[in-house]
Amino acid sequence: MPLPDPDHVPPGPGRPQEHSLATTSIVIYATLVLLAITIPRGLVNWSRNFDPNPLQEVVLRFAQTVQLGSRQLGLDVPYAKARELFLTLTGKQDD
Amino acid sequence: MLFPTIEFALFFAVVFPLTWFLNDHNTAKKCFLVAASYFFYAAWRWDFTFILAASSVVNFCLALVLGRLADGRGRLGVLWLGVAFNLGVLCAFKYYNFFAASAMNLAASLGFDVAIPFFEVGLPIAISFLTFHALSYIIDVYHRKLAPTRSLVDILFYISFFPHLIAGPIVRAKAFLEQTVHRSNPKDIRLGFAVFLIVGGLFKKVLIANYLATDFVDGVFRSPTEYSRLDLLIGMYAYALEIYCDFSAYTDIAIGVANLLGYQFPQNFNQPYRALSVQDFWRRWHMTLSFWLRDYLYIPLGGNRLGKWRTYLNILITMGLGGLWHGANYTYVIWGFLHGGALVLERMLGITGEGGHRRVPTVISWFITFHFVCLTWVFFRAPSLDGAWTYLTTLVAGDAIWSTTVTPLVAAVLVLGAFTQIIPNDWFERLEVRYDRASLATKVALPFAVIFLVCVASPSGVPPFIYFQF
Repeated sequence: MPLPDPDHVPPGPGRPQEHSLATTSIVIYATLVLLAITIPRGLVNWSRNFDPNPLQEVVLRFAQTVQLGSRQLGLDVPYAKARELFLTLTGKQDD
Repeated sequence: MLFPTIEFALFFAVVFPLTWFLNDHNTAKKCFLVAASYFFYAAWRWDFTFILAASSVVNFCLALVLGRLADGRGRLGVLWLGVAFNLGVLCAFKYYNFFAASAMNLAASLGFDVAIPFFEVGLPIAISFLTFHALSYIIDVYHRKLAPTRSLVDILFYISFFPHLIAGPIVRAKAFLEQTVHRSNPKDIRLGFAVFLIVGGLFKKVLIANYLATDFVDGVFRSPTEYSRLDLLIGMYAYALEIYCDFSAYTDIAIGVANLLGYQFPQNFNQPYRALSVQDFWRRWHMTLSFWLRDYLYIPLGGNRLGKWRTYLNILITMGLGGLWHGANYTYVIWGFLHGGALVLERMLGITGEGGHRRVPTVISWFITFHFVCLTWVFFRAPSLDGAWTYLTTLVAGDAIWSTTVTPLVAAVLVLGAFTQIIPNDWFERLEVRYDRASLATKVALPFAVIFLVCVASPSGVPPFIYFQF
């Protein structure tokens, strides 16, 4: 079995992208935004975990606005339904 | 700050664009990444960042001195000073209390009452990996494999770079520093490679490792006598999968995150439970540690150049110290020596290569290796030698045999964990290539869908990675 040379790291597989930085940025931020609007309660719960301070209040208000918008558009329904199904199937409970 | 958290997602969402924004100003970019890495580390304990900084500065200065001195005793002395400094910091924080307690127990067993004060500071997270990186740098400079850098920022960056700071992979100084000389090339981002590593890592950690730990493994190792022999057997397999999914998840995410920032890290795992010999296992498990121990401990001890018996001794010393590195507990030392003993035995029997022994069918080589590795994990996981002994004796001679507490969820997760070892390696490479050719919408949909599913099935809260304690 040939041993790798630890002093040099070969690039990973795959191939260089066209406009790699733009593509990567879109993938990262679009993924984060989609997660934020489809699982808005994660952001709300997370921002509630901090000690109250002006920044925390701003973040919490932002998270609650996202949650409200998501609810009105029904975007949080798939997560809620899927989570409920998972909890039913496994007998687990949310904290 | 753990990788699978909202904190880290927000942290990375800020670090990623700023890193690439500063890419044309390489020094500014490195300064920014050092600051980001210190922020990342300070999220646990800000005061320990001074250790990080002090280690970087001392090793930077020692390397400069090593670079200026001609070969001779003085230069060797400086190297030993550096080795003593790095190991001294590691020992002070990680092993002092262990050795103090061992010395007091020994003295008490001999009838002496000795009181040695304990060092009540706490263990700085990542201190072991920090030490490995620092030693790699000064030893390579000593051997003139690497010219000492004149930039303190480079060393601060090398030692603190947040993807590998906490739990590796261990990146050699030469391999890392040569990437920091010039601006990064955005074309070095392998998006499919990074995405699969990151989402795969999240899947392994959040779903497989966490459920195995909380729903089964923690219980059977806490009180093995309350479980059947079947449960203890499954617990042994489950822990093998848990530690693999936990640790490989961390390093996979680290490799993926570093790649998105324009830096390449070495591979750290290669389906280790497919190994056909213990030597093969160590070429697949925590590969960067195996190669580090080989190059910076086993070979300097004489490797296999000083005769058969000295080679065996060197293997045992290397694996024993490798075990002790994992923690200040005799269980880790025993674990290391068991692996060392197995490596010696394989050498004696001529079983050295990937294919095991030619006279032994592949399936038997695999079976023996896999079960040896799983058995030794009992020592690694058990809280004490007594705990390991209780586990193993109950496994062999417990009263209850066939009853099981394995839930359907644990069974499903075990199957998923086993799947990580079974799927051919080239599947991932083919998927990555297909991903790279896919439309932008697909490129977004895939990581979103996987992370969404991980969130749906995730337990509440994410426990720290196992290797954080090392």
